[in-house]
Amino acid sequence: MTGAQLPALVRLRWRMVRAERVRVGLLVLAACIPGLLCAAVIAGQLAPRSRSFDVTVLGPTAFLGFAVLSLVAPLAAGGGNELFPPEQLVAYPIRPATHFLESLLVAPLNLAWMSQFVLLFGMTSFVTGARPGLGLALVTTLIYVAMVTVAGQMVAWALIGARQSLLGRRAVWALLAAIVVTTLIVLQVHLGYRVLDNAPTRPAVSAVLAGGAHRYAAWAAGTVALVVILVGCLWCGPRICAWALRRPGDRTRFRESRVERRRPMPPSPLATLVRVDRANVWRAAPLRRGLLVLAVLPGVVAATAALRWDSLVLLPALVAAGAGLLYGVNMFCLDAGGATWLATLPHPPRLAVTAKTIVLGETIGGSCFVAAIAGSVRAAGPITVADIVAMACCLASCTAVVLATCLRLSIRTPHRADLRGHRDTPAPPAAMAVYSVRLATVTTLIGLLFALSAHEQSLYACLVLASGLVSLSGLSIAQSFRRWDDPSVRARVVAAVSNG
Amino acid sequence: MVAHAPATTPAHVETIGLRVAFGPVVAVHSLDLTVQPASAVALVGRNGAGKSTTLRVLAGILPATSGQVMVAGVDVTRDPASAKAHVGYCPDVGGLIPRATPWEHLALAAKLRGLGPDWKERASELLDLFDLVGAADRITAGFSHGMGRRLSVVLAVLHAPSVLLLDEPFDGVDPLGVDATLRVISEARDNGSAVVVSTHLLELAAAACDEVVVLRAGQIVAAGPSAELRGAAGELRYRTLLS
Repeated sequence: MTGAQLPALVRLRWRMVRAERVRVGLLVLAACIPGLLCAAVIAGQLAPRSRSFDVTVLGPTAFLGFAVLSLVAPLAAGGGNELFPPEQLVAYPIRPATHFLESLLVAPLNLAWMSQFVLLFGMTSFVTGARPGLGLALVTTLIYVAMVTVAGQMVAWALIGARQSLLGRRAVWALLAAIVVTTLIVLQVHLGYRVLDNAPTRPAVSAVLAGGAHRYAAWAAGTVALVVILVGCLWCGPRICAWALRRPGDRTRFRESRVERRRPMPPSPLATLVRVDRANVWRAAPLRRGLLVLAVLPGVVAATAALRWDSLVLLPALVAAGAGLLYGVNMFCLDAGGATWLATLPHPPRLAVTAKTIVLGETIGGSCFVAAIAGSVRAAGPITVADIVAMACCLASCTAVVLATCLRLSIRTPHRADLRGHRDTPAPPAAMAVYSVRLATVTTLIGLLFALSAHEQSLYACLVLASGLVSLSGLSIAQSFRRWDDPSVRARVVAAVSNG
Repeated sequence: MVAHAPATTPAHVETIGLRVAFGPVVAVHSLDLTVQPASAVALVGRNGAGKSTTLRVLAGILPATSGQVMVAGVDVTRDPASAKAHVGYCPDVGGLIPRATPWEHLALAAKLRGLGPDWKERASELLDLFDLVGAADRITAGFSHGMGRRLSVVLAVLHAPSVLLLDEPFDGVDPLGVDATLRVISEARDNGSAVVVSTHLLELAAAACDEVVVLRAGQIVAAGPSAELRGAAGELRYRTLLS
């Protein structure tokens, strides 16, 4: 039955993409992926070989990084993203295996996953060099990518299932604490590089290298081992997913029935709306979890790697795009059905959109700030005024640009999204993929410009660039506000977010 | 067209040639509706007859494609903010911010409507009437459908509006909630408000309202005293009108 369910869901999802230009855009985006992989392989072949050994040594770390990402991404999404929100499928007998496979299917619709996949392909090509065994090495990398992605989904479902009870939550927190403490100890005694050099991904990298060096027995042994693990995970994954979905889930029910403390009335209508919107963000499980992952994880990774200050400047750029994707690309979905009621209250239309803009700005800026602070704890090298200014300018610019883009997208293409369940996203998977490419491309470019300015120690360039970007974003926000003044635009947004 | 109060009293709700189109689909077609103060009118009709769309236009959420819409003497198209100050609206579905509590909804409504400090007393009375006191500080995402409907009615009547618009207020509501809704409709009418109720429940429409307007394909096909639609004969007549 699973074999029939998944294609049916995919077909329905595809039919629900109504606009022809969006369909064409998605097909073009999909067609770019093989092209990107080929480009990575060619770049790996053409790159100068002088640092081939260094990159080979970094192989296990890069493969480990991909494995961590493959676990964190579905974990942050509550087991993995879905083609349809669960409440839209309650009337259908969807099997857990279908849930598991659809999560796997949409896993590549994640810019971080895709970019690291391309990077691993390029790295494989580079370390293998122009040898006939390149094909074998690439096959091993491909199987590794598939294996860790399936394993990541499986482990994420296991953790999600465990977290449905108090004991399970305590166990997961204890595990997390143990990992953090171990990492701190390893860093404190300067064993970081040794641990990474002996990462559990070494056998996979060895198999890749064996393929490139025509050591067929070693290649076959390593690759077959990966295939066996992959098949094992594919067998276990749906069963663990079924177990997790069967768990009663006391957490959600507790949160939805707990009593919230009454607080004094804020002084103004704007402050009242801001408070409601803030509560809407912090009381939503997927948003709370996403913010935690976004704000803390990149900063901890940067701190662990002890990045240089001019590289650390990139951090706010990466976090800002992720924060915008949490709900900002469809910010009015926070109100869900309440949007209809809100629209009947006598207030200037700009008041509600201003409140949402303020709260989204806080979310993006706050996440970037926390990540930057966490990352700077162990930053390498002496800090200069130019580094601090570049970091602050990058944070302000990325926040402003992402805010302006999110506001524009929210008004132009609103979607119905409850953001109630752990796996809920503010927009359908394909739309999220397009949004993530759009936001991440812009913020990465901005981050690179500021990193370059910091590297050149150019205060003037940072300030000019930030002024320009913040001003342009301000103009864009003002334009979106003017669009919001149109009653027919507001009616369309309210209808979309409240009724779907 | 409905007239209940003396002809000299200006109507609280008046639509003249109201037309609402969503692209090629015309939801409301040249609708002329008048509701006088201190009267209650039920809008009945099949699914897609244009009842909810009409109420959304009156509430200022949906702009009319053409025609004139007056609420409490204010042109909804020209001055929607003033019109909204006079209106209390209970939407047909949802209508609640999922992660806000009923008390936070009430506080937001009080602040945006500029109500005085006595709103808390009124809110507490209404929550008590609709048996929601125990759930006043729980987020609404965990509410049952009926609880959500009851809270939507509370939010619509908090400021004692001069125009009360209730879209399917009895849908999924228990008998005590229905009694509470009938009571607030009756009180609103006694206080001089114009009430418009959209429902599929003919008996409750007749119990709540003085007049019934039957819509079909966005047009009024019949209007008259609600007593005419009571009982088996009324039911038969209504079914004939629908078909």
